[in-house]
Amino acid sequence: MSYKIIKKQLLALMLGVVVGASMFLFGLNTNLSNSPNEAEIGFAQDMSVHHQQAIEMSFLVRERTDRQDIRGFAFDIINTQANQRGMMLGWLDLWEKPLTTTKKPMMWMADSMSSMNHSQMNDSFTSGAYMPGMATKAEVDQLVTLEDKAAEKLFLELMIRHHQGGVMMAEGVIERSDNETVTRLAQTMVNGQQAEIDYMNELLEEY
Amino acid sequence: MKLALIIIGLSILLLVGGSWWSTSSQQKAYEQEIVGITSTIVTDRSHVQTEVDYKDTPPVGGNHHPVWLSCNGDIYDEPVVDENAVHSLEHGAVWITYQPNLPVADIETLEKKVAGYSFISPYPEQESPIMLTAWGVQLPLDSADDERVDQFLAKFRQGPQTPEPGATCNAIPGGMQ
Repeated sequence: MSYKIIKKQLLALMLGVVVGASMFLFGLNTNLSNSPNEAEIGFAQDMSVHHQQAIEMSFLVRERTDRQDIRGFAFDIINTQANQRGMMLGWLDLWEKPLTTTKKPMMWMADSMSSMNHSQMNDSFTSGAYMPGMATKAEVDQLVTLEDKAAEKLFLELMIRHHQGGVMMAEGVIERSDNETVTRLAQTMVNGQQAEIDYMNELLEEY
Repeated sequence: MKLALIIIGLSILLLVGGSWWSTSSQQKAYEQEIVGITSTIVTDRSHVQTEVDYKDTPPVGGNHHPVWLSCNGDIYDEPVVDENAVHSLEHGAVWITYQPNLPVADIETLEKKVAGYSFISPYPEQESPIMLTAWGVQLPLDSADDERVDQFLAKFRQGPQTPEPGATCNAIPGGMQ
């Protein structure tokens, strides 16, 4: 066998091993979905902070009113959003990414946020708020000072806006992700929070 | 040349094997087929205080009362209110229902299977002796010993079709209004 033929075969061997191994790894990788993109990581980090404020405001209103339908609704938000936070933090843990980011919030949606006009931007970001729809510290502090009807009304107003921002963020990751675990949870947030916005608007009519 | 062919063959084998392995292990988790299931895509899920006209018996989803029925292994001896039960389905519960004339032994067998994210009640109007219902899915059965009871519970308690993942089955403290 001449040296040239051996060289040819060696080349084929190396090529085959590389192709085979990468195909195998590709098969593994699609199964574990273990290579998140920037939007999936950013969504999980930011949305868990966003959810935390909904939980905080729901605890506050439960302490400030006896109205049972509002208290029951707040109880639902507390449980659901706390568990969903856990799901998102669990993804980050599995992805070996930090649960808390030092990046500016919402950078993973920066491409579409910057294309918004000024009034759209103002609608989604309350001045002084950390993420779309979130209440400012002053607004949360105000909720602490109120009781009964006044507390219920402010809670509903803040939570409607909070959910509107949440829906926008969930829609943002659905556009940017093809990880079915991520998009399925995000889609339930879009549907669920929209239904809750409608319910809160109905409740708000009484005030 | 021979060696090159072997290598190419091996690559194809790895590729096929890798993708087979990845799909089959996904199927184990969610895709297990249960014979006899009907599924419906439910889009309505608003909170309403009025009676709702559900098209399935028992209902598989739709608009519902703001208060859900406790669904953490609860055994109800009397029929429950549909509008409350549907809210429990939204939270990921499996609802087991039976015709009141079902043999007591079967009722007891079913009651023993009810645990977290599931509840059981009689349902006089239903056509099948036993019905298993989760949001958007339903399975009629004749016998409590059918192996599909366990399959359905395994697949649909907090199943992938749950509209509100993470929601609780615990009753609201302070109870109904």
